Amino acid sequence: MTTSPPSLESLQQNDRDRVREHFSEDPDWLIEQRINAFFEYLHTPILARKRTPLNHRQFENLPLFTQQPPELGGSWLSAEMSDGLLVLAGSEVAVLRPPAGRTAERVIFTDLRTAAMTHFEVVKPYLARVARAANSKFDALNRAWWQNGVFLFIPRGVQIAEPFTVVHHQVASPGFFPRSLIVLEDDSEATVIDLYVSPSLKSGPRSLAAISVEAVVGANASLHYGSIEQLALNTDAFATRTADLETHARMDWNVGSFGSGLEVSQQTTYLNGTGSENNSLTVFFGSRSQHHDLEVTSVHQGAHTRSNIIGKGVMKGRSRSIFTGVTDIKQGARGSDARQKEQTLMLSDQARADAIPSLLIEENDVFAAHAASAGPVDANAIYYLTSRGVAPEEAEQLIVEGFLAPVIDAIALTEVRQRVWSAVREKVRE
Amino acid sequence: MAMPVLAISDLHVTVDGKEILKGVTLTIRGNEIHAIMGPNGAGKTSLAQTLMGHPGYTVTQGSVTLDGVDLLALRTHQRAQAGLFLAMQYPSEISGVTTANFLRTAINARRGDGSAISLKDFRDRLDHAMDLLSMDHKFANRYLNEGFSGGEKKRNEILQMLMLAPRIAVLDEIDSGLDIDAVRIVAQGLTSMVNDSFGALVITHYQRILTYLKPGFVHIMVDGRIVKSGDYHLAETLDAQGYDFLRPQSEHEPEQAAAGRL
Repeated sequence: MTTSPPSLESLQQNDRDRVREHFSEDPDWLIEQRINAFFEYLHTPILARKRTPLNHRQFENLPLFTQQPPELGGSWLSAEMSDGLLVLAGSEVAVLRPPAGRTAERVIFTDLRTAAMTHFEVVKPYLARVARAANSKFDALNRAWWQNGVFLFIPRGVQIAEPFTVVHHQVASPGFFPRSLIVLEDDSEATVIDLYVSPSLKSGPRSLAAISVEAVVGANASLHYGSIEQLALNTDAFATRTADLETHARMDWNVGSFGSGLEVSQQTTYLNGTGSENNSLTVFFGSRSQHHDLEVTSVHQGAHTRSNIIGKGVMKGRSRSIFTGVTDIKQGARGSDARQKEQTLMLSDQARADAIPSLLIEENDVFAAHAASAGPVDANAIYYLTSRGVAPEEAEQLIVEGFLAPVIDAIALTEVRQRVWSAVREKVRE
Repeated sequence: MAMPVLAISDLHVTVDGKEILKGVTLTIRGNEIHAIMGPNGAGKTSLAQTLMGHPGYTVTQGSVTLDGVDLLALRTHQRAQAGLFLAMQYPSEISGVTTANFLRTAINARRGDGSAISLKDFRDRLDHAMDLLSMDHKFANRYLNEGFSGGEKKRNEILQMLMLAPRIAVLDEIDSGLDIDAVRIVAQGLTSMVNDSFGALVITHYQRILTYLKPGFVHIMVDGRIVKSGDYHLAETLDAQGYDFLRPQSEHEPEQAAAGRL
C-alpha cells in the first residue's frame, strides 16, 4: 500500500513503480497488464459524446484512493443471504457464499483478485480480452486500477437457474473501479446480477467510478445479466459493458440506471456467432440535475443474428438523458434482425431527453427497425384516474409505474425485478 | 345512510370562453334513474364532465351540491370520494396498471388510511361484479382499458361503478358501441345498484337502453338547456318523432325551457 494517496496527475511520474507498489500482491502478469492499461488510459482520448461535454471535468485532479478503512452501509448486508452471493466493500470481500447444488465444485464464483491468483489459468486468457475491443478510456482506467470485482466461470454443459448476486459497495474512496468477468462455456446457462451502491446517495466528497463488465458467452449458452446502478449523486460514473456471443449464444441485458450525478455508459454486444441473440433492456430514471448518457450497441457479425434494444426512461426535475442505440450490421451478417425502441416519460418541463437511433448497415438481406417517442404524462389519464377518487399525485405515480411495468415485469430475474421496482418507487417519491 | 341528493341549480359553463351550458337545473335523488337525451352538441357530455370537475370546463354561474356539500369547491378526486361517479364516454387507456390493482387503489383511497379492503374481500367482490357483467375474470389482470374494444371499455366502466359503489353515478353514453346483449347486461348492472342510497343520471342518444332501465325521469337537452322533462314516455315519443317535434317549442319558449320545469 502507498503511504500517500496517489492521484492520476502524480502517477504520470514513475507509473510503473506506483502500480507495482500499490498492487504488490498481484501476480506479475496482472501487474504488467495494469501498467499497459494505464498507459493506454493516458493515451486514449476521452469519450466523444456530443451532448455530454467531459473535457472540463478534470478527472486528473481526483485522488484515486485514500487510506480510510472501508465503510459499509448496513442495508445490503442485512439483505437475504442467498447462496451465490458476493458482497464487496471496495476491495474487501465482506460476504462470499458459494452456489448451492451438485455442480458447484466445477463452477468458479469468487472475487476477481482471488481468482486472478488461484485460478489464473482460467482468468488470464479472458481478463480484458473482450473489453479491449470497446476501446474505452474508462475501461482502460478500470483495467489499470480495479481493486476487486467478481469472476464467474460456468463450465461446458452446466446450467444454473439460481442467480449469482454481486453487491459492489462504493466505500469512502474517491476512486471506485469494480470489475466483473463472466465466462460461460458452450451449452451452459447462468444468471448474474451486479448491484452498485453507495453508503449514502446524497452526501460525501466527489468521486469517480469506472465500472467494467465483460462477458463471454459460448456456443448455445445463455447469460441472463442484470445490473442496477444506485451510486451517490456526487459520483461521476463511467460504465463499460461488453459481451462476446458465439454461435447460437443468447445474452439478456437488464440494466437499471438510477444513481450518479453523471453516468456515461457504453454497452457493446458482439454477435459473432451465427444465430446469436442479444436482448437489451435499459431502464433509466433521472431526477434533480442527473445526467445520463447511455449508449447501447449491437454489432452483428454472424449470419441470422438477432438484437432487440429497448430503452425506457422517466425524467424528473432538471434531469437530462441521452439514449443512443447503435445497430451495426457488418457485411456477412445476412438474414439478421435488429430492432430498437425508446420511450421516455417526461414528468417535468425542465427535464430533457434525447433518443438517438443509429443504423449502420453493410449487408442487404437484413431487417432493421427503430422507434422513439417522448412525451409528458397524459392529462386525460390523470383526470380519469382522479375521477375514481385517487389523488393526482398518486395518479401520476400509477402512470409512471404503469409506463415502466411492461418492461420491468418482463424481467425474468425475480431479484432484479424487485430491486428495480424499489429503485423506481424511491425515485418516484423523491 | 341518508338518501343521496345531487342538486344542480342554474348551472352555466363555458369552454374556451364559449358558453356551453346555459342554466341547467336538475335534482337527482337515491332510488331514481334520470335520463338526459338530446342531439349532438347539446351539452350533455359537458354537463357530465363539469360535475366531475374536468379542468377544461369553467363554471360561471350556478351551484352543484351532493348531500349539501358544494361539489364545485372540491377537486375531482374529492368529488369521487364524496360519492360521485362518472362512467366516461371515452375512458383513458392506462398502460401498465391492471384493472384489479387500480380498483383496489381507488377503493382504499376512498376508505382512507387504516381501513384498507382485505385482499379476500376485494377478490370476492370483484368476482361477483364480473359475473354480474358476464366478464371474463382475466380482464381484472389486463391493463386498464388498454387494447379493449369499445364494448369492453364500457363494461369496464360499469365494473368500476359496481366496485366503487358511488352514491350518484353519471353514465355518459354508456350504451354507444354496444351490441344488444351488452346493452342489456350493462342495464342490468346499473339496475342492480339502484336503491335508496344510489341514484343515476344516464346520458344517451338512444331509447334502446331506456327500455331496460325504465327511468322515472327523462330530460331533453338542446343547446345547453333542458327544454323538456317527463317520464319514460317522453323517450318513446322522441324515438318515434325525432328531435324535430321539440324545435318550435324550444324556440318559442326559451325562458320556460331554461328553468327546466316543463
